[in-house]
Amino acid sequence: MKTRIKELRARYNMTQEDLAKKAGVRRETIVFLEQGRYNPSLRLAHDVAKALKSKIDDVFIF
Amino acid sequence: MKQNRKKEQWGIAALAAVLVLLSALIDARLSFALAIAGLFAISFTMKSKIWRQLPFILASFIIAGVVVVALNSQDGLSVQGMAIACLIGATMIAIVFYRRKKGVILNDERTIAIHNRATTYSWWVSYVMIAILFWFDYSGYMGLSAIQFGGVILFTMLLSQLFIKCYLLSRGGS
Repeated sequence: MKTRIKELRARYNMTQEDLAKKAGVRRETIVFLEQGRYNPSLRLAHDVAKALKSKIDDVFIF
Repeated sequence: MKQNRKKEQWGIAALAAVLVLLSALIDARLSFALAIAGLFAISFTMKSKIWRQLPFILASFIIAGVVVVALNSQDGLSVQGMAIACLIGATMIAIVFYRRKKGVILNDERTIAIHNRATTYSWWVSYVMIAILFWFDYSGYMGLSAIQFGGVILFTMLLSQLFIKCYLLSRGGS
C-alpha cells in the first residue's frame, strides 16, 4: 500500500521519531509504513493521519 | 490506588517466586507444593482470577527446575554459572524497566502481531521436531532420554521463535 507519510511529514517538518511518538508506535513501524511494507490497522491509520493533521484517505492510498 | 495495588501484586509475586526458589534448594516436591499453595494464596489475596498469576508461577517453576537440576547434577551448571545467568537476567529486566520509564515504546501493534505469528510458527516447528524425534526413537535409530527430548524441544521452540521473529521484523510484518 502506498502512503504519503513522507511528504506530509516534510510539510510539517516532522522526523520519523516525532511521528512515532505522536502515533504511539516504534520508529521502525513508521519506516515500514512509509515504505509500504506494513499494512496498518484502522486504529493506527487513524492515529497516523491525526498526527499528520490529515484524513486517512489523504495519507494512505488504497 | 490502582498503582499501589499493582505494586502490591508485584511484591507478592516476587515474594512467592523467591520462596519457590529457596524451597527448590531444599526439595523439588516442596517447591512444587509451595508453588501451588502460593498460586491459591496470591489469587485469594488479590481477589483476581488464577490464570493472571500463572506466568509468575510458571517462571518460578522454571527457575526452581533449573536450580534443582543444577544442584543434582555432577557436571551440570555451577553456582558461578547460575549467578552469571541470574545477573544477565536481572540486567535485561533492568534495561527494559529503564527504557519504559524513559518513555521508549518497546512494543506496538506491529511487533505484537509479529511476536504472535513467530510463536505460532515456532509451535509448528516444535511439532514437526516432536514427530521426527518420535519416529527416530520408535525405529530405534536414535534413543533419547526424557531430559534430552525436553531439552531439544525447549531449544527448538526458543530458537525457532527468535529466528522467525527476526525474519518477520526485517520484512516489515505484513
